[in-house]
Amino acid sequence: MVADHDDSSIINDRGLTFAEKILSLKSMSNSGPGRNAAAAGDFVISSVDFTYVHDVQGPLVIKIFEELKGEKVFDRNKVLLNIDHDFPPSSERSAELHNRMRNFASSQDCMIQEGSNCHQYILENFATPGMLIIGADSHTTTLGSLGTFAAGMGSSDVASILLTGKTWLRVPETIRIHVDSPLGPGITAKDVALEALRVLGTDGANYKSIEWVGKGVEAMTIDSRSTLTNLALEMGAKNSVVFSDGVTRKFLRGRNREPGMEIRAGDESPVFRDIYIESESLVPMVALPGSPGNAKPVSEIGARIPINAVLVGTCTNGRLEDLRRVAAILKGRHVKQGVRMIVTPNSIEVYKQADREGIISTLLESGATVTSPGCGACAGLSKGLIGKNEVAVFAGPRNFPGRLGSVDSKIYLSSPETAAASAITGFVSSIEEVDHK
Amino acid sequence: MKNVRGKCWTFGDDVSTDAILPSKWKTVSFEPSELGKHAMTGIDEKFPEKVSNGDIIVGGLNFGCGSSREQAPIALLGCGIRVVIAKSIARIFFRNCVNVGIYPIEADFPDDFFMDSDEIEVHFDLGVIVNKRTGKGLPFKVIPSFLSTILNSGGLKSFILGGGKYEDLF
Repeated sequence: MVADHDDSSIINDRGLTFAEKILSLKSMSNSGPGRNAAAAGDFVISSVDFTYVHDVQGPLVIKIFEELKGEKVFDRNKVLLNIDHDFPPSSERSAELHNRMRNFASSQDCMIQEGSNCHQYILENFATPGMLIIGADSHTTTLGSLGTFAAGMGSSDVASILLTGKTWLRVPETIRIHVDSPLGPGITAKDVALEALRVLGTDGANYKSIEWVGKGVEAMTIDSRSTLTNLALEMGAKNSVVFSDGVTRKFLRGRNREPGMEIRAGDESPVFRDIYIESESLVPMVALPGSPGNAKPVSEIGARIPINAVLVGTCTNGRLEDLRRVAAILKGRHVKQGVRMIVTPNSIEVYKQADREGIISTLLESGATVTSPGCGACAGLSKGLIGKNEVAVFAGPRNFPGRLGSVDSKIYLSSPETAAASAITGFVSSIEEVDHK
Repeated sequence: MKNVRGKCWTFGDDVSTDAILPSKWKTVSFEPSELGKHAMTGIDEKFPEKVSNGDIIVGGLNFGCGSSREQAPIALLGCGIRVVIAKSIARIFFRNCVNVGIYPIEADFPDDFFMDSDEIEVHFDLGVIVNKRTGKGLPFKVIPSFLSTILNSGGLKSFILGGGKYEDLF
């Protein structure tokens, strides 16, 4: 994509945030006072470069699209139907809903995918820097790890996008989270995000754009960056981004994809809030049951918490890097008797590569169960739900009551490392408690 | 938007869509009347029996956080909720409310301002909520006019079916 003259002046503007730049470029009209660029607080009508639905919202999107008398989707190459929340189907109802999606994809001649988590599949295959992506799922923010503006919406909004290729957006203010130095050993992007959740809480970034910046972020892989942009949603964010750089370009080159349009915030752009994560001294973090905002260091939990289940996967922590770390900890060790450990690779590609690297057999040898790829129990429908009074450690996105099944269960949110360590000890534990044995 | 009067039901902070409509019900149906039978059961099993048409939900901070499932506000609609008031409303839930025809209101209020079963009046023209039990008034910020246009049409689907276009909104 080559920027025209006006585009270049916006892209190079030193006073605009990422969100202001990209929404200026994508807008066809805005409520602001007639300026070239949209500013935080303006409402804009934007064109959408890619949109997708999964098997929970998708059937409702299709129903609304049909009620809107939609005939053809706005651009069949920009629409993906993705079956991941309950695949393979755990019920007749799910099987029926999947068929509605297949029929729609067939009649519209648009793309359909079955098995991989939607966000991961789009990272692997479609997203490029500078795209505006709207998904019918809250964790659409994940795709900002490739320098896109990506936001989640509900079924009606996405049905109207299928119809018109457009949507309205309020240009968000920006929270810039600085991670200025690389992470210590055993500390991951999940710990960084949990620390940010401790600071911001679950609504500290409501309606905002979160930019992750600094040497610590630049040193991260796309897998790690995707954990940051994914969890920004749990802080309330509308979108979250890591600016495209050499790591992004290399990732895209390796997949024969275009470098897209690189957009970064101007160095004089005003932000709503700056947050500095002390990454050098960061320790393993966990969010206590009830809310991702209940984050604190694992070492400060106090009591020993016995657990029934450990789950690793989802659009937050089901990537190859996460599985590699879990396997490295479980190799030669065994999951504690009485604890069930369930690992869900979040895509078919991740599953296949994990198999090639021997990760799957390491996990099985250690006593873990590996499910088919996708969203796992996080969809609340199958693949390892937890029952009344059970306690789980979850390397996933959120731990609101009932997220993994019973509303009378308790979920501790952690990194894959902490989850693996806990599976070995049978208590909520950081990796140090395993290493020292 | 016409002013409304109704009985309120109060909830705390971080009420997620998993609480508003638990996962096990999110795909059983897409009809408001069916989904309404399970509204708020992630937090109060008896809610669908207690609630009446025209009642008002009052939440704390971050109401409707979590999953983007539009089935959550549809479930509220199905049990007669037309207004949700909270200290803050999660972004996607806010949009979903407007799109299904529920008026989302954000306001600053002390925890004891509303109690279960209080009769309250919402004056959209003035931007004020009045608690009839205490007689106290609470100002709120009215939503942008283009969202009122969508709401007054009955939601996004009705707006579009009525010939509405985003380009005409602002």
